Amino acid sequence: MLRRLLIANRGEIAVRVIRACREMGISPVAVYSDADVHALHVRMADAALPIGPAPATDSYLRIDRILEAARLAGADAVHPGYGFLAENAEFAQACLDTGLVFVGPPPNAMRALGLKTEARKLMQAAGVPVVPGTLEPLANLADVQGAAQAIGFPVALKAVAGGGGKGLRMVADPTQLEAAFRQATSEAGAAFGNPAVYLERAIERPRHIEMQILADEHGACVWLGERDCSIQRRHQKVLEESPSPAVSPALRSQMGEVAVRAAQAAGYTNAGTVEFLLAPDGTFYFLEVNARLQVEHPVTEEVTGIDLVREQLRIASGEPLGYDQSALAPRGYAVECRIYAEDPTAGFLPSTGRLLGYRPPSGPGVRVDSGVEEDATIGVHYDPMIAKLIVHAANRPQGLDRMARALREFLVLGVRTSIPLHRWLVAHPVVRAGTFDTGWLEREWSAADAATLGHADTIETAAIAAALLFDAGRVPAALPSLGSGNDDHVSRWRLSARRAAQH
Amino acid sequence: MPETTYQVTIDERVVRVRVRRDGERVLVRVDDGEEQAVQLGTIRGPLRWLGLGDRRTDLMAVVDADGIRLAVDGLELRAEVLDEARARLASVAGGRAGSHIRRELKAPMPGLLVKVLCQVGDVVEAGQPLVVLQAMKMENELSLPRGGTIKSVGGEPGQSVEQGQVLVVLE
Repeated sequence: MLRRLLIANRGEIAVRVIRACREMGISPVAVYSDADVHALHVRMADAALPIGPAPATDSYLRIDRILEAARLAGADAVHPGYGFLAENAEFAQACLDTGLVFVGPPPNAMRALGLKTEARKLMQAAGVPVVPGTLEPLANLADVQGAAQAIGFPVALKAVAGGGGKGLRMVADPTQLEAAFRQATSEAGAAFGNPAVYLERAIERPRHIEMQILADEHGACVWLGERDCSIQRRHQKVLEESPSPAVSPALRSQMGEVAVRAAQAAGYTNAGTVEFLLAPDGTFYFLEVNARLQVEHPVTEEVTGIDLVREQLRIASGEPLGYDQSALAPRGYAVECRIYAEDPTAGFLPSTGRLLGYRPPSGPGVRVDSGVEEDATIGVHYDPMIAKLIVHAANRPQGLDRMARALREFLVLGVRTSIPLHRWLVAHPVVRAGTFDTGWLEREWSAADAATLGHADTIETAAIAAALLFDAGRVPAALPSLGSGNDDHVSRWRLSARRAAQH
Repeated sequence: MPETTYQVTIDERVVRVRVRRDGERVLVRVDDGEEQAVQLGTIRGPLRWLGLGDRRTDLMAVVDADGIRLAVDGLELRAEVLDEARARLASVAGGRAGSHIRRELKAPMPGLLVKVLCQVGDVVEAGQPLVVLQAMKMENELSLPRGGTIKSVGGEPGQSVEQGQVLVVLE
């Protein structure tokens, strides 16, 4: 078993891995940038080492500094979390080369899956259904036009090195092809340092269904059920659930078996996710393999009862899985909301500042994975996700009711969050019916919806509280950093409050 | 017992709250609704509870330079309170005595000013994009919750701005 694990990440996922370490008797080591000196993950670890200035390119993406930190801390293994270096084969290789265990798939599997055209060829050879399209990158516009005619419109232009919707263009007809090709190659070049693109037939109104797998280093591989991540905004997942309302038991087994085949074709080990597009007619296509722990992994943990981080660490230390497919029996329903520091009432503007108040929900079936506490500062340098709220319940209607309750309990003061959007979502008839696709949220959501997020009774409660606080003149003074330079204004405000109370 | 009426502006909405004290009891009426007994208790720090009629809600509140910040039912809200005498004065003075805060568009975060979409003298509407600020790798259109005439513009495209820097001021 591993002894001392360096976590090459920050925020909630670093905290999540530290907790697994504590449960397994492994000593966790944190790294941090200048912006994270006071972060929760730094305080929770046995040791924490600085790795550079706030920008990720100078700290969390610096392979040399992370390896040096691992050496200084005497770590024998590295967990990359998600994002940053998690799917960087060069980083995984560098860990292995310095004698560290890398908690993730082997670098060769990452390379085989990293380029989409290579992954598509590999999958097709293994009998995994891929979206019809080109198997090679397209060098010029003439090739793109030829391929598009052969495939038939609408088509999707995708970055070979892609992910996260960057370098992705949907093209409805031949007249848009030239502009789309130019945009996709320039975006892909900027985002991934590789401008190559290829073509796929566009699957209309698909659902995003992904299958969690675990594979040990002794040839065992199991699937742990799907997550439906079809509710997205700008290609970012907003809500994830399991089981999917669109997947029957027969389809689930079929997708699970295909996912295992895909993992084995790539020589994959550790935890991974095989992403599929599910068309309205029930056919499904391989999209990509996420060669890491996913943000939404807790959804699967809740329904299977399996601690995926624990399994990652066991597998990485060479232990066999110790169970087979028949031992896995998902129970109930789980759903996750990603709570972002973004204001849905103002065009999803990022919201930064200090958490003046933070009271996460609790109670039956509620789990909050977060990397922040009261007084934390939400800055501009990293992903604005402040917490993941996951609930588990007997079935989908009860799970959505429980999520609505938990969202209402979640109080965050100091920054605006996506909680109002999540409340709107879990109450929406289409979400309740489970009949959405990946484009639904962006088609449905409008400024008019943003304006209705403050329910009448919420506004009434807030207005009464504000009036009473003013009336009594008993609002506590603002915390020092907030009132800086405005003390005069604050004291006048409080003075007028006292005057009002004398009526 | 005398009754005090407050005009509470929550984001875009204006709500009238009448507060009446009757011995130990406090009664409130919102707009033309029923009068209800109310209790506001402190739990710890900014955390409070509000008992209104037969329902109870936990909430958070602090005051800062711009008014009262509240977190209620998962929403983060900003409230400005005026007692009625001051509100009346404000309307006589053409709204000038209200808050000056909302006439200023401040950068909500540090970033790069990408576009300035208005000029001094322009008449703009509430919610109309006034500048585009790039931050957190995203372009964000910033607007004000009220319309008016642009009095000044505090930046040029390509310029880096600090959090809280005033970008646009209305007359």
